[in-house]
Amino acid sequence: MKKTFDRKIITGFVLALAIWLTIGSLLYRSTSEQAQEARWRSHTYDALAKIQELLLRLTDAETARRGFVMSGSDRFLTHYSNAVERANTAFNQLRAVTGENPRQQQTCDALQTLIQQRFAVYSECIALQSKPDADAATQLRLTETGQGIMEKIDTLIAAMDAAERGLLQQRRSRSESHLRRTQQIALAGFIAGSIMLSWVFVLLARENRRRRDAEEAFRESNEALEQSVQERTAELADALEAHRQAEQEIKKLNEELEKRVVERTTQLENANKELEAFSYSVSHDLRAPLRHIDGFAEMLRDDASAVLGERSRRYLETIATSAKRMGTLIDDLLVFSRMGRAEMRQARFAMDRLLKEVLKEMKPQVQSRQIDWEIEPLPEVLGDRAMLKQVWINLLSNAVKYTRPRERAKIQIRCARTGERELQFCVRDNGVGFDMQYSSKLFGVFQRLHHTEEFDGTGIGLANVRRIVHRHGGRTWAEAKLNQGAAFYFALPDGTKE
Amino acid sequence: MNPPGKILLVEDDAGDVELILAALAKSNLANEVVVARDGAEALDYLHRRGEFQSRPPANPAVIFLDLKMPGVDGLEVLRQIKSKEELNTIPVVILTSSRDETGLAQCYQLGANSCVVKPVDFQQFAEAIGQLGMFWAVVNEPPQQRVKR
Repeated sequence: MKKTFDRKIITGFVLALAIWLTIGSLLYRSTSEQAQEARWRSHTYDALAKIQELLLRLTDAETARRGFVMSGSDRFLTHYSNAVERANTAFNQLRAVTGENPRQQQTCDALQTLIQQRFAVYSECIALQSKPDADAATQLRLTETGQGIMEKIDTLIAAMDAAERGLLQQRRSRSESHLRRTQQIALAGFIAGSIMLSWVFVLLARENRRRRDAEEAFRESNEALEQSVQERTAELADALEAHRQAEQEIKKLNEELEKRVVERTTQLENANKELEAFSYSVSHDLRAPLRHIDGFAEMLRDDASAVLGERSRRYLETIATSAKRMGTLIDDLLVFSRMGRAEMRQARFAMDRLLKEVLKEMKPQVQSRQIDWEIEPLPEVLGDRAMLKQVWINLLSNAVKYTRPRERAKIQIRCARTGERELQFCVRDNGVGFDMQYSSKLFGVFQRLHHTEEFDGTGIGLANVRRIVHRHGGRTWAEAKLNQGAAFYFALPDGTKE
Repeated sequence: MNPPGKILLVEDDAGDVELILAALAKSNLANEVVVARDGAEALDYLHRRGEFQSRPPANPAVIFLDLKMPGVDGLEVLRQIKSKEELNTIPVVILTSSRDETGLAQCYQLGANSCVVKPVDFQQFAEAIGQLGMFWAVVNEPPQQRVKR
């Protein structure tokens, strides 16, 4: 686009320049020719003037001769000599002027002969007149001869004159035609050049307008851009401001939250201290009276067994048993409370080995039993080893306990890794199971689904399991059917980083 | 043969005192038992001052010490015993109702020789007391007593 445009402009200028150069050279040549023509014309005018002068001088010579013949005065003779001399001069000049024209030179040759003849006749006449015995008749004859020559001379001169005038005419008309042609060429060139320049001008004007339009469009788009940039900047500033405010609010909320956390923590710490004091009080102060009840009931029995009836002895027995049971409950409660408060000692360890330890410790419990153990390999876990040991002890004790009615007990221990970065452990037995509608009570403190007479225990074991697993960030649940066995699950985070 | 060393029982609870005495009697120990009803009394006895000014100078073979007492408590008594050159060789058995771990740890740090949580079950309780008496007052060989005159 740009290239063709530039090429057009250059072509236009080159053409215009060529046309102007052509016109210039033509005009120069034409004016040179005109000047040449003018020179030629003045030359012709010179020739014509010389012809007239020659004629005049010849006439002068004639007049002087006639005067001398008639008067015999020497004054006329002098006139004559001058005239002859001037006539010769004029003739020589004429010959020089027409030197380039061969025809005029021929005429000049003829004229020269005639003029010489004429002057010879005149000389004869004058010589005759100078003689005292002048012969009028001879004089007359000579005059006639001279007249004849003169006529011839006149004819020749007239011819020369006519030739020069023709030449003049010819040159003038040629000059005019030259002039006209030059004018035409100049006009045509001028028009062509003008058209060329107009074309270039139009092109330039168009290009200029196009550029101006482009510039205008560019400016407009620039302005639009600037405006949109300003709008965007304003929007961003607004957003920033809003963000800042939101941040400040969040900060304020955070501070409040932190304050509340601090307050809550203090409250919790206080509550914890109170709880500790409470549990100490429970363990110390409640146990002492229980000890006394049991102790003195025992001593009473020792002392008074002889005088006591069977029923009274049974009452004493019941008092002692109840006191002991309450002692166990308190102990269990204390253990449960400690499980919640004790500091966790997280470490990575092999669950396999821990389970082996637990099973070894449980040997006395299972010695008299027929139990098929089915144990899958267990992975390494991250947690408090002592606490998780308690979990296994409780779950396995339960499994052993509730399979007691079975001749051959079957206890499975499994572990599965789930998608939620969890390790799911499961203890499944073929024991008495339970009704799922009570499953929500299962993990509560001192919650039991069986009578103490059937299965011993305080009902703290699963509560401890849940508490320990929760403290590890895990969860517990169970599945069972009455008389068809139970499965207890606990899931622990697998300890890998998110 | 010297008469067996005395057992100093420091216990504020009358019921516990009776039970412990009964338990010790059950185990047929020949040792005399001296009962102090609180910490202050126990320290008076050990330092032979106040009402014990005129007692014979021998230190007890073992001290059974309750922790929770009004006034000077068991820990304070323990601290004083173990910081005195003439007393710190006496074995001290802590008898407590509490399984409170920090309390037990503190006792051992202060130099208690043994800590026993009193069982609720009287049979077990009597057994434990009997064994403790037998071990510390009879089996255990104390260093030669240096009696200040």
